[in-house]
Amino acid sequence: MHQREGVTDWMNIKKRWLVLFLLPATAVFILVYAIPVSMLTATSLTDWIVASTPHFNGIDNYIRLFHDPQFLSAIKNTLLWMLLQSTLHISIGVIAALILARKKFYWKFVRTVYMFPNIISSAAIGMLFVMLFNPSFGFVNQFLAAIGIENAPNWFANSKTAFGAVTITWLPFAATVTILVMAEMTSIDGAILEAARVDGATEFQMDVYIVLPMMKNIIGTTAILGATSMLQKLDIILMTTNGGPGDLTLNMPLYVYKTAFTAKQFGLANASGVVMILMGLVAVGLINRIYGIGKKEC
Amino acid sequence: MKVKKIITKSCIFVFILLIIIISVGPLLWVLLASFKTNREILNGGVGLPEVFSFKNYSDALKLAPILQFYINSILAGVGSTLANVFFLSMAAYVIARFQWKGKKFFRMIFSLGLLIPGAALLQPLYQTMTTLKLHDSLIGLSLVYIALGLPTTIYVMSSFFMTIPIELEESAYLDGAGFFRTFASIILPLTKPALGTAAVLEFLLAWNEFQFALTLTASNAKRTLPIALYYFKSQFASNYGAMFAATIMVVIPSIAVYILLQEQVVSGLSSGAVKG
Amino acid sequence: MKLKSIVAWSLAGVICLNLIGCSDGKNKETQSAVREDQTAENDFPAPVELSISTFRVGTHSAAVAEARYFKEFQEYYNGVDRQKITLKVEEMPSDEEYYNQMKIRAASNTLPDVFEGKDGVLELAVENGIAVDMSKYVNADEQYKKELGESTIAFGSDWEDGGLYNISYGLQAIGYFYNKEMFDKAGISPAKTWDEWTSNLEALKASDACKAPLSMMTGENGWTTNLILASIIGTSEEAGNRFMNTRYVDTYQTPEVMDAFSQIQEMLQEYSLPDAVGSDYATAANHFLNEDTAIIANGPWMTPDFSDPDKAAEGFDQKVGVALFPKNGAIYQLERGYSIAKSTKEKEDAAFKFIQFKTNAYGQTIHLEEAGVLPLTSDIQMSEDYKQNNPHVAELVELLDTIEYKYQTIDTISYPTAISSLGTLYPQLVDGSLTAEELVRLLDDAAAKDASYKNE
Repeated sequence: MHQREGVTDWMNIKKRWLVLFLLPATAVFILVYAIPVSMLTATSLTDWIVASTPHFNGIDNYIRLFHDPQFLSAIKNTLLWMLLQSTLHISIGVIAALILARKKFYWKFVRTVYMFPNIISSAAIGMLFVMLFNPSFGFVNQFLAAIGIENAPNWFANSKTAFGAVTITWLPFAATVTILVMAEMTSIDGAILEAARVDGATEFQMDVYIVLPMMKNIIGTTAILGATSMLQKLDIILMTTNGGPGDLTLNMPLYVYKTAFTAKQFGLANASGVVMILMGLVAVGLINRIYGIGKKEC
Repeated sequence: MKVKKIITKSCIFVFILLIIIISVGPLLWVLLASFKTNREILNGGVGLPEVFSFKNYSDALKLAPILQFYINSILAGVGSTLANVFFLSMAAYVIARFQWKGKKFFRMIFSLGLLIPGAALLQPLYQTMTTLKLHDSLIGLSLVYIALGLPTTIYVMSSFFMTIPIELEESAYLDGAGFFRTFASIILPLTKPALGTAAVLEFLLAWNEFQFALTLTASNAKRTLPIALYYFKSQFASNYGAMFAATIMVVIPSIAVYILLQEQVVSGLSSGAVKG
Repeated sequence: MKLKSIVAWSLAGVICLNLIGCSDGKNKETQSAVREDQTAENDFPAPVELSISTFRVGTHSAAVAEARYFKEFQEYYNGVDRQKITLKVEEMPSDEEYYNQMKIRAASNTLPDVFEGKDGVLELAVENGIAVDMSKYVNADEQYKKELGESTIAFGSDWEDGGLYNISYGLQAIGYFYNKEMFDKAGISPAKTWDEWTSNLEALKASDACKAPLSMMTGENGWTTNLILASIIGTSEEAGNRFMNTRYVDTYQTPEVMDAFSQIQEMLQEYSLPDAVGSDYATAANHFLNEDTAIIANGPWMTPDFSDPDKAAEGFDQKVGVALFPKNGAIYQLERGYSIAKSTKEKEDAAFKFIQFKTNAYGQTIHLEEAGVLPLTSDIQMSEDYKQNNPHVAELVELLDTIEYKYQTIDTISYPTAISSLGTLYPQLVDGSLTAEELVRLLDDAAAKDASYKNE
């Protein structure tokens, strides 16, 4: 293992480069994340409400949270969506990537337009979904009526369909998965694929047995990005269901938002934020485990 | 056998068709709506407008300071994208390629950014930025945008870095190249697809972000485009036509940037294998 | 590792900075004010710069009036005949975002000098002593006091310590609009009792004059629906009326309220369009303007839409009639209005001058003519011109004298958390998963979450 030692030797000398390369990222991180999160955590242990002086009250907020049925509902919905996003939507994205990588005549066009919904700001997209799914004049219900399905439900307002309807609004994320996976595909050694082709493997076999395993890292990464995006998604829910009916589509970011801005309970909101962060940490750790990210291939 | 192939091919066809419809559909709808009157929009309908009028566009420009916001969005967008992609790929590089104490720690805390709810960050960041006199400044806002894109960029770049064989660096050092030279002239060019992708995601973030832009800027001289969209929606008087016209005006540059950056990525893809 | 300690120290350092910065906000201005005092050349107070935020921008109906106020105020206080006061205006498009920002500011004690404290902001500001009691200013100006009127001052002093913390800028009087043509076709006229109201709805439904009788909505703050809800409760004898005139009711579990919700449930299920549940205001309004529905509960600011070619067909405004709710009930409340944030004396004095400019007789006239906001006292009359151009507003004002039951909106009497949750509970009320009893119980739970909720 001569080469290994050479690298380590050289690396010790250039330790200052390491620090230098990490500095900008660390500085920005401290400013925007570390400091606010410490403020968050500190105030989560107080009874702080808008305009008041905070007083320490220990873990009262946390106890209160776990007695709130809405909070528990929000946790449940968030976990469910994290699961769906990191499996269903990712699968769609990966399949699309595999298909497009075959570079049929349409591939450039489809790859470009696939991202379009992600480019439009969420204010407009939210508006769009509301109008599309409007039970009186929206395109979806009119289309269903045209093919014979009358009395289609009020998608965002019906207790049975609201959750599913909101899940559909996350679909544009699949496009991000596609472009990430396709970017990583460039690192595949063409020779391997050629050899396989010569051996008589079909496209499908090559995809499943060669390409997919090599994409493990990036797919795991998109799983993390997808799952954690469920800890951020807020505006579309606000515009379509506002967490309703009841708390059927309430997720944790929305819970934090409502506690902070509607109820004006900043201390309590920050506590729920801390719980969310911990939840996310566990999820990220789990996904890392499952996909074995970071472990190099031989 | 043949039947199987036909089924597979038709499945693929339907799949791709669906993708095209749900991707182009929304944008097309918004584009058509931007030429319709409010009444037409609210009455639903997916067809062509009765009259192709540019009134919505002129209304939009009158009701909101769009042109002024345009400049700020470009500054913040381009600035934070360049800074984010360049500086953060540096961090991703050392995390991905080298073994050192604390590497796991840094890896973990950088992914923390994904977990922190934006809503909870609004007040602390407002306070921090005000204390640092960075409130109502595009620099302050750009710093926030760089940070918001930090986890994604580091993930994307480090994931890609790990696919590059070690031998490349080693041969470079044996040739006498310094650390930074190796990074900048040898490793980085190989990662063009990932760079392009990270840049796209960061630019879109900065271009479309609303909450922090509203909280951390105050004067119209520093405001960005997403805020303009809210000028058209008040409790009792919304002008959806103008809002969609403004949306189109906002979307066009981002599509242009996207297509431009994608060319970078595509060139990497078309060349097939990178090494060998 | 070295980096870790650097991180830790910088963290500590900036946290300290923040804690200091928190309380430092207002002190800096004292120094600059003193400096300016010494350079003042005449008898006026030193020049002041006021910070103010506004959501009346863009498509807001009062955007033009607001811009006019800012301009005329600065032309009036120009430093030549009077003190020089400049305005630093921050635009906050959309009212919801405005109130969110006010909460963030209040949390760091950096409220703008003049602010509107709806959505619970003023409650918390008063409780924590960061709002200014304006009685000393108002009592010093008899003419202005008369222009405000007694009820305005009583309304603004409705606080535990009796201080005057908010000055209203206008009156909200709301009945409902109806399509006269559709009413004729169904052979009905505006209902005098709630039984008649229901039979009217039946008649409209049976007559096929409209797609659905009512323009209801449950999205956003359920505005049009809640106006009817408020009216049912507000006209149901003394208890109901008192309920609808309390600021921040503690419980919704009373017979009047539950009965009202049952009636609303029926209206949403039987007499509204399918998209009423989850609908926002624009859609509900459009249904009325597009002649899909016959009735919409809303205020006078809607009237310009009737003759707007972009929004309604030609001649639609001729078909619209105005009515009070059954039993001659109407929403009749003052807007919350403006408050001053605690600061230096110079800024507070100047802030009051701004509020006075906006709410005195002249200010009220502009509000009426440009934004359709009703004035605070009957001293301000509508010009003949105005009456000609705004027949519906004129009609409503004439009806004001016949009101027997006055009450406030559901928004005004409810904790913000309750109103927000009502929007998500309506769909369940409509699809039957909740009864009215269960709904009001959940409303109480939601109300208890509000930061201002007092458990007495």
